[in-house]
Amino acid sequence: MSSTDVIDHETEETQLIDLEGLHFPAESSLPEGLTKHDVLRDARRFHAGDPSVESITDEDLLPAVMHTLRRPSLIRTDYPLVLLPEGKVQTLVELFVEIIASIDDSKVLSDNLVRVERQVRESLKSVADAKKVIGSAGAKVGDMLGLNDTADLNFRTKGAELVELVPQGTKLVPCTAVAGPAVAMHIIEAQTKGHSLRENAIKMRDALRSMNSNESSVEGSGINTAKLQEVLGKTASGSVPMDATRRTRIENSIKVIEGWLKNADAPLYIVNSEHAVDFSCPHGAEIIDGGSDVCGMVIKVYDDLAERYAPLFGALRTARLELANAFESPRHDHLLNNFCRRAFSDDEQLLMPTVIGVGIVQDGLLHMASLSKVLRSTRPITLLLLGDDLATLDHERIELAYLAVAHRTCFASQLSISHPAHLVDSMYQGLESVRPTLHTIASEDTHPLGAWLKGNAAIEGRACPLLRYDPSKGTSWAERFELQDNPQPEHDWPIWSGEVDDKELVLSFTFAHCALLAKELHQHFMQLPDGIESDDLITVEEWLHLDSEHSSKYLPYLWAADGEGAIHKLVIARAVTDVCRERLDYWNTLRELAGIDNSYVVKAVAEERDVLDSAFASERESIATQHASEIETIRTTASQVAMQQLAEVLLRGGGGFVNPLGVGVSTIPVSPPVTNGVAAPPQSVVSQPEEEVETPESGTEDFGDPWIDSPLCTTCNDCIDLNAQVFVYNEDKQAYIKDATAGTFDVIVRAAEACPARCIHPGSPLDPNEPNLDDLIERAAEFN
Amino acid sequence: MFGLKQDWSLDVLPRYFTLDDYEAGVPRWCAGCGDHGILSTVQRICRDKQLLPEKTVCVSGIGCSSRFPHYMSTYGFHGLHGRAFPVACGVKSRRPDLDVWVATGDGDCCSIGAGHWIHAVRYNMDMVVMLFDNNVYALTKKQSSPTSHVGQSTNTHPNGAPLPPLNPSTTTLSITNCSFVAQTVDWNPVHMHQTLMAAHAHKGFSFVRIFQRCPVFSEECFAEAVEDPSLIQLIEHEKGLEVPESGTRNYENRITHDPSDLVQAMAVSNQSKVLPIGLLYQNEDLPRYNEYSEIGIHATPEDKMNALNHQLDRFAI
Repeated sequence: MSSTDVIDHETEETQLIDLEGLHFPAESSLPEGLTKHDVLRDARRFHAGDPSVESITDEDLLPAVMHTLRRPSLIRTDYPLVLLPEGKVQTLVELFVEIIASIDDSKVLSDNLVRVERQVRESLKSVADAKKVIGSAGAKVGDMLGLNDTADLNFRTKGAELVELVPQGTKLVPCTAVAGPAVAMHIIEAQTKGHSLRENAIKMRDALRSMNSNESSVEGSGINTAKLQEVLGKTASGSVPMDATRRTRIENSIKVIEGWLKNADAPLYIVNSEHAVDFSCPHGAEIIDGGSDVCGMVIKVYDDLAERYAPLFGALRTARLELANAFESPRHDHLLNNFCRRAFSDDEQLLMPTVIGVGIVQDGLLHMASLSKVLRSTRPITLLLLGDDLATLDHERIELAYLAVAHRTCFASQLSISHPAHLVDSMYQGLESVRPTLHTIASEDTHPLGAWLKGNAAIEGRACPLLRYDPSKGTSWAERFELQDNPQPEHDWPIWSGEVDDKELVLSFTFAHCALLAKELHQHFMQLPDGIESDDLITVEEWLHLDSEHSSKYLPYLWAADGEGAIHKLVIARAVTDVCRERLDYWNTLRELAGIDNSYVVKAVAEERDVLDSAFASERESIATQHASEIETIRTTASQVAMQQLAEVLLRGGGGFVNPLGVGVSTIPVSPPVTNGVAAPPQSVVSQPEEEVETPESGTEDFGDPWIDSPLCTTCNDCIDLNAQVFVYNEDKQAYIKDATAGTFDVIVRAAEACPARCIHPGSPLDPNEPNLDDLIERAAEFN
Repeated sequence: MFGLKQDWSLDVLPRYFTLDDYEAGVPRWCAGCGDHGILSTVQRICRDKQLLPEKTVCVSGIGCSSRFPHYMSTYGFHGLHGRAFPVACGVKSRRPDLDVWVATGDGDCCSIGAGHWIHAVRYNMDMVVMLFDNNVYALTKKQSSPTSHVGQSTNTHPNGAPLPPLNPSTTTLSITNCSFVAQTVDWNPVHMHQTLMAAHAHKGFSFVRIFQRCPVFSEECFAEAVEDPSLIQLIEHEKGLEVPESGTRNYENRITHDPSDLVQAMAVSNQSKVLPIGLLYQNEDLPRYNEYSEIGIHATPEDKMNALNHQLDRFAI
């Protein structure tokens, strides 16, 4: 073991992790006949790419920090996501917490919601109705628990209440590749774009019709308005006939609007690539086959739509101008003749149907020209491209999201289904921006550890860093570019620390750790015999810090845990470490763009520090010189003053002391504070009570209904023995008053008197005709 | 970590236990007896912690309190007078996986069982010990117990007990390897719940003295403290018990005491005018004998035979 792994000092920058279950192997496993030298020689050959050296064969080997996560079914993730009808997205736990708070007497259910949650997670394979899935999972849990009759009835009744409180139409989304498109469609569906446009169009049409009919009624009345004007003279006011051009314009606008209302488009156009995942499309959406060039097809679909919407938006603008009597010809003539997409306002673009293309990352790579055309245009088109090659060894790969950022004016994001909060936020922001939007979504749901862990490992290992670029956020890169949702963005790699066999172990998570999750890449890892220690072995994160000249002297390894929790060193082949370097380079580029650890800033800070250090050094030198000079002056002056003082004392035979430095120390006599020439008298310590003591009102006081301070009940049975209908035990076997009318006030008062915990409060009698009431009220008063 | 929150594990048993699952029979204790409250508190803790009934054992000696195992639907052992500790230690020695609860009384523990008490404290095996201290032998109808106060009239001392009472807490604190001592009262279920929860969470011999009312034979012992909360002294400290406000609001008489301070713990518990309640002492760094006694529990009969033969072979000629 190298001294760099087991550390003695505190590691402030690392995050603590539970490494329970891990242990160092008890004994050395160096094969007989082999020396440490032989093993290291083979390891060097393996690292260089010699296929004759045996790679790992144990399929259970995982990065050490992931050992506790071996059973994905026992892991609570943010999935299933809950899609609520109003467009909100939350987790199942959040939904349960919200609902259970409104159900009384639900301890058995709330204690078992974790089991229901687990059952839902295990059973959910595709997007499904929440009520059905939760109901069926609850029933299964109920059968499994085998509760006694009372508890079982309570569990099922409260479970039914919970299902009832789940809003109608709520859907659950599992952690699979469909999560990205499902969330996007859900958010779009919740937007009522077509609805508001339709309302606006009807309103405008009706207003125009009204204008037109008023004009027709004047014409039909036989009044010659021109003659009337002539008779009344120029000063007279009144109706002026609408000129024929304007009437035609209004009638044309009405026609255009009515034409659109009759043949209104679908609110959503989905262009599917031939590689797109199968997801559930919202009701009423228009589905278009995009073939292999989904990017080219979305442009065509959008332009066709824009061509259809241009006359409508022109007619609506004309209508507004006409209603305000502000239409000026020829300034506004283009609205009905040559109005086109480029003249659309942001609001008009938002009112158009949403156009969304769904495909895979390869679609964008194969048709780069089409993709670029979408991204550099002003069309608010959304592209969802899914990627599943999270740990590929292709170190020449193109990052589509990064490429999109280079277009500068589009909204771009790299998302992962393993980080739904970032995914949902980005979807909302992208769909609300009037810009071309590219979301690339990492998802790999075929891994045995599950899509959640694989996706998170890709994020942790910087294989697939999350990013978001929104040009609307500001003019500087720091405002537009976000990396904050990545784990420990201030570090090259996330760093964890924990204890194994009482020794502190610092573990990074690099791309190599992520690659270890892919069985097809196991050929690039070689297990060292346990107990081998050498200065030549260093952790992969340390190795990556060295330049190639120095790193060649060392062998990079990582800690991996087998199925039993024993941790072993795995030497990593160059094929993987090369990609580690490439990913680190990409990550550092992103960090510079985001203003984290920016090299220009680091350089500027260093330069500024040098300047300041030099200024401080010069100032310090100058102060030191001045200080020395002042001390010398004081020393000379003080000795002169002291001698003079001594001479005075000797000559006069008395006198006081004069501070040789001339600084006087005096004691100021304390006098009492004086106000207006009169000393203030001592303040009275007796204060008047602020609250007046309430005097009991005459007559009988109302103490309300009887109640029990249940947490104080000692379960002594005294009250239950008196009347088991009035007094009942709750789920904690502590008494409460279930039905005060089931017994007399006398019973309640006697119970209060008998209660050793004195936690029964009889309140006021409910029946005014009960005998001996005055006596009972008097006895009850003590306990109210 | 990997996008997971603190409560990421869903590793829960497929079973769930309600309060009913820990209840057995109808307690025969008198109405108003403090034992009812102790029983229901322990049952609530079992329910809240979802302790497996088949992995829980209640052990007792003789006395009113020692009927405790009969009313718990777990494994139980109603032992001989004063012999709760040897049985409990025996159980824990070879079944360290079991949760052991000991119910004993002031007579059972502090008189006939005193010898076992001392050694059980020193063994510091991981178990919860509840001393039901009602200052009297109640099952046998009112005889003086070691904790009866001077002047307390009983059938053995009609004119009043002549000797000052033994203090079980100071006695326990003075025993070598003592690791946990707390006091509580049966008439404050909130405080008692938190005390027993802390005792259960403690790894070692958790000794809890519960001042327990007997409404028939020693009613006068705690009547004043029940009526007048100023006679209770609440022990507070950041390392002490976390008791909800409902369990502490009546107590104005409070003392701050660091439970790692053994000397002050003796002084706090050794008061005659007030009943101190709270955590007196806790030290988790002391050796536990069950960790020694459990060595080799997984050895099969063959392993044992082989080990024996190996030793005997040394003497073969």
